[in-house]
Amino acid sequence: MVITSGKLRGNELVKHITALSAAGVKAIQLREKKLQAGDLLLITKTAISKIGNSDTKLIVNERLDIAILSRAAGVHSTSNGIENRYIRKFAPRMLSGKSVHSVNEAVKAEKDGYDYVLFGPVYKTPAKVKYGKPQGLKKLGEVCSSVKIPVFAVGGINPQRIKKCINAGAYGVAVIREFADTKNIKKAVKGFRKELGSL
Amino acid sequence: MKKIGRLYLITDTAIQKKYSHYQIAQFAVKGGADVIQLRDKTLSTSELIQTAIKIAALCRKHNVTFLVNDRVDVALVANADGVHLGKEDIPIKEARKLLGKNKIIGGTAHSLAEAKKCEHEGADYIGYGHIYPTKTKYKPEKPKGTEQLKLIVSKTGIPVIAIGGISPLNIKEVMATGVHGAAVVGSVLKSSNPLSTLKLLRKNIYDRKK
Repeated sequence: MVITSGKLRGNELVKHITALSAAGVKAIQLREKKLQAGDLLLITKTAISKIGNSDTKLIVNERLDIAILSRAAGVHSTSNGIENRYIRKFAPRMLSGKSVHSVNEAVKAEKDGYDYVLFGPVYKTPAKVKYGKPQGLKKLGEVCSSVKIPVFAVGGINPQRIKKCINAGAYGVAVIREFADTKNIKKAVKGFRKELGSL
Repeated sequence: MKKIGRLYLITDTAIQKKYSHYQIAQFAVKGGADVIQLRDKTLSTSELIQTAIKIAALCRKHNVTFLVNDRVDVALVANADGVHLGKEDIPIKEARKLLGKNKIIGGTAHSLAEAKKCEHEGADYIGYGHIYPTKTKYKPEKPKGTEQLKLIVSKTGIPVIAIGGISPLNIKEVMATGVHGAAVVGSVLKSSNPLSTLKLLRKNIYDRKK
């Protein structure tokens, strides 16, 4: 899973999503907190029409209204984000994910009915400094063994660290930085594909 | 039922820290506001939903219209009466798909062309302004004034709510343009007695013809 960096605008962002999809990325989470809702809806709709029949699932951060209107595959709820019961009420078939930072939060997310969780930061990462120290592989392992739903490891993930996360029980990894540079997608994809098999 | 009243109060916790959204809603229903709009750009979704659900219950009890700014999803979840959308928010037509025809959708206009566009897209009312100088929002353009407002009102087929710098001192002049109603923020929330300011605004709106 690739999470967008929030640094690209308009058509550049659409192009980036299209390129990620073409490279075989299976899930892209649009985390664009600075975009106004109107722009975000337009970008999401345009990107979805461009990636069309590909295997890529587009997941909108936090805004259930935009996820529904753009016919996105999923919606992702941040720490204080939208509760799953509301997602189910208005979009029963939509994928729903939740960011968690502890075993308790992961167990609660599973109980609430989310389809998957993002756990992190596993490693040190500038994007998530506000969540404090990296949680490490041991904690990741604890989270993975306490829930049955897929756990994606997030935070400082690079190709060299993937196997360690998977061995700890992670279903997959979520990456921001390594895919943020539009000029480097091919190289990043190659590195990740080698470790993961598919993206 | 779509009921768009004349005295419209926006909860704003950025221009003042004394009152929470819910506290504002409490004195708004007491002071006779017809519409309450929850506006917050910083709260998390879950906090915004919790606040909206509480205010929606209060408004229902007092038969006050409750709108949510920008977040169509929050309006749906809280079963609010509708949304108010700015120019950068989800387009009116798109919001209508989610809310259906019975919910209220308000649009924002700063010109006649924008007002016409909102009307065309199916808005139930238009917020037009800013009429007078205001400190609530940063406004690089000059205030529109009441003459401009009168023009907008005469050329639009849906209710116009005037906004921007409206206080008990100038609200009679605003209403004299034939505008449907007025939205207030700073004049109430930063007044030493918000409840009495609201009551005075209400009196000045509804007692005009006596």
